[in-house]
Amino acid sequence: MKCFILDFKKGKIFHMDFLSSFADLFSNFANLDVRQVIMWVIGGVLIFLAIKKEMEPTLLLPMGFGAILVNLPGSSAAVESVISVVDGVISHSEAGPLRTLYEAGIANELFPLILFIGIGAMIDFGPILSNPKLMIFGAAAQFGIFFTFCLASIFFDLPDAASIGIIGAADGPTAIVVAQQLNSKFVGPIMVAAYSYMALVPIIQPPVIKALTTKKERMIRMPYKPANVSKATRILFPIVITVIAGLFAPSSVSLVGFLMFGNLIRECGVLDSLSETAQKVLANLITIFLGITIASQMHYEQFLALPTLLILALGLFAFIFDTAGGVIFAKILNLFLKEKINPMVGAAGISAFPMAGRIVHKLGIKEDPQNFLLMQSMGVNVSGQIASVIAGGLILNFAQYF
Amino acid sequence: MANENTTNTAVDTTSAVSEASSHTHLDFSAIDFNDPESVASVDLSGINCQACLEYYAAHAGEGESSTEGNLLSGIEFNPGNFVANLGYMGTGMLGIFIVIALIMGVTTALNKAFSGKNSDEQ
Repeated sequence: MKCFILDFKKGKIFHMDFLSSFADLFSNFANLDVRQVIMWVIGGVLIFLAIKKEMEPTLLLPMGFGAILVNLPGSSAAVESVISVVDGVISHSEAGPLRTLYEAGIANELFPLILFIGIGAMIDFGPILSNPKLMIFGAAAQFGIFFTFCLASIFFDLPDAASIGIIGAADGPTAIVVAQQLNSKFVGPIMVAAYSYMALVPIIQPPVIKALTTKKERMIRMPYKPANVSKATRILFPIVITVIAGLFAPSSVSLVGFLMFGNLIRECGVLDSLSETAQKVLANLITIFLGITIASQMHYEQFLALPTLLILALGLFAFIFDTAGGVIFAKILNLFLKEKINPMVGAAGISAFPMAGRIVHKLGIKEDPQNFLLMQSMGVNVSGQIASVIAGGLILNFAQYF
Repeated sequence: MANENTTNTAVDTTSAVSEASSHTHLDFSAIDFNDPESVASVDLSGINCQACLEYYAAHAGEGESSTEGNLLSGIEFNPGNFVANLGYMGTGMLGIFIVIALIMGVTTALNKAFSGKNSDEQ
């Protein structure tokens, strides 16, 4: 249907095909796939959890929004750069902004490593420095990584299995670095699983802890005996850890190094403004980019596929077995100790910082309002952060034998 | 998405290759980027067209990495691998306990060495 328009000012008559123009407005609807709608729902759920339940909103909100953004029909947000040769003409289409961010910050592992500076600046190693024995639970709670690696090897080749196992590090940056260095084909799903489960730790851990402990065990009190920690110890600790980790697991040097560099900025006492910037501005900035860039990997064609669903399931196993490893290790230690340990503290060895520590503290208070486990669980949680990075380095060391 | 581009290009480049040019182009029509064997068999010697080489490099891994179109791609089922890889689990856990034990020892030593000096905390 043609429509004629009179332009009285110019004295001209324009005609345009209104119907086809109007129809063009809706042409993109034809490109809509039901799987894209499913991804919108998933994105919506992540946003809901972030806002309504306040579950790791810094991660889940950008991921949720990004999931919707990349799954709009014809979305240019995450398209790859393409060189094409058509009829002898070479054309080069630019990558979408999220793809550019991915290449600039994740493919080369820059974002996770920079974020580690911020995380290192946030962490107070005081609780483990005053009670180093707690560190052992951080090691035990990495069981899920290696167990899931074995489990994943049933379905995937070894580099992919190792990358999936590292989801159990409960540490997004470590998962990204390891998956990238092992050239995993499933970096996207692994990132999504790692960050999603970190946010879901408050849902995943309590049932596992309760299933593995009795009420009596959960009520065990652990008096906190703070010890003085000298400034020299605080300054030397990050340096020494970097050297030890570098000697045993050289592949972990960049991860441990950036984490400990951030902590050194915090503890040195002469770089307060840098420390504050690293903790707040730098960490927030990278988190914003990281969250939405991870979402660029949530395209429905990749996400709603069996390998992804299997990876998500294995990632959940990793978190469960991490938690179980820490709790069971504490129970085993209790067989030999006079002064019993609350086995829930072992679960805080999962790296998700500081959620895991807080959860154990809350569970302790729930059973006994006078049972304060915060300092102990935070100590274990911090050691879990170190242990998970070292575990990532060990996994990378194994790669030479794959 | 990328596969669609690849398919289109594989057809369209035939004309480009046939054109006389100072550059030696790659014959994309003979390459199936979804077939790793086809990709591996490509002879790049003598190809001096930078665009062709970049295009080839960008798409060479697609057949292996793509999970599009096949829900099961990338997945196999080898239950024996679980037992075969338990050694990694043992080594990994042993390694992490050794490193953490060492860190515990060093931390204790640091605490002893610097106890009472500039103690700053609870």
